[in-house]
Amino acid sequence: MKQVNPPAAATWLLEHMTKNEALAGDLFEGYQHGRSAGWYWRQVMAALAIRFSEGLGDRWPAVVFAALWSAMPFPWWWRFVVRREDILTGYVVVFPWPYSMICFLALSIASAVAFVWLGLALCLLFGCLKRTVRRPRVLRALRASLLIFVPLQFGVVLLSLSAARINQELLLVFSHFCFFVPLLVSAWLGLPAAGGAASSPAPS
Amino acid sequence: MTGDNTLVDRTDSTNRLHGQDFFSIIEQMRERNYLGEFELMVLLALIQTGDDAYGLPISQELANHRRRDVSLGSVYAALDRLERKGCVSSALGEPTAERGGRAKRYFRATKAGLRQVHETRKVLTRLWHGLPALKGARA
Repeated sequence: MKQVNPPAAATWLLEHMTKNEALAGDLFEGYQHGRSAGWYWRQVMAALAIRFSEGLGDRWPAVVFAALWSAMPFPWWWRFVVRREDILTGYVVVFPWPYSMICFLALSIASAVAFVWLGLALCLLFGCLKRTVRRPRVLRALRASLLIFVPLQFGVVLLSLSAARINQELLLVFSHFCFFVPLLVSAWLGLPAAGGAASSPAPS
Repeated sequence: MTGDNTLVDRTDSTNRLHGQDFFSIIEQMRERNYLGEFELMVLLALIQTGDDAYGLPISQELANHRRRDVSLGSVYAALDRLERKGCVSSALGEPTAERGGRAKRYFRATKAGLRQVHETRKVLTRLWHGLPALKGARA
């Protein structure tokens, strides 16, 4: 027997990812008029894909920037990962355990955050040349970069310290990815859309 | 055109383009003024639907003519683009229980939109003259 309401998970995704009330209402109405749950899911997935592709088109500078900045060499950060023994024996190890480890993790992550924030600052500064970048957007971008980046970097550093033998090239690729994702998200949130509000309803 | 003016304003006395113009050019390339195939179909479906046209009847009208299902998301995306081009205007209605408490967004073709459709039809009709027939296809 068909449910009275459309699939809740699809509705949640639609409402939170597209923020298009009229579209959500149309799909609800279509479902109420006999369309199947499969139709509802297909429509939601198509709407999300379209929203994402439009977002990419509107915020292409954020994508380009994130790709370029995360591909850049960052020796002063990479030094912490690859040459960890030198650093550990150099000055971190002077502290007793576990403070030495805490100090190492804090140094690694703080340097990586500094690298991301430097890039983000340049990106937003460049964005200011074209459009007004407002303070709430900047704060949202900084918050997002911290929320995503710190756990990812924590994982990278722990992986590099783990006893298991890890392919260094694989670790490098993974660490680039861990820079790319938070940079993309934070630049995406920080920079205003190039083509204006893409899908928000504009009642006249 | 506003975009053209922006580009001209940034050129200095030596007529050299500045670095920022790269982004303006890319954006102008994206903001096409002519109607795309799907946009034209959506606009025609909107005109056929008549008054009180909103997403669902427009997509059903389009699906009937195309004889295949249409994604409502792509219809809304096309309507948004048409609205930015000034071909369509929209207004939000009252939320109803039938739609789970969500409002309808009513669309209407503007005069500029109608003019654009007529212009496109003229151009396409001229272009279709002398179109060679497909081998084995019935006329």
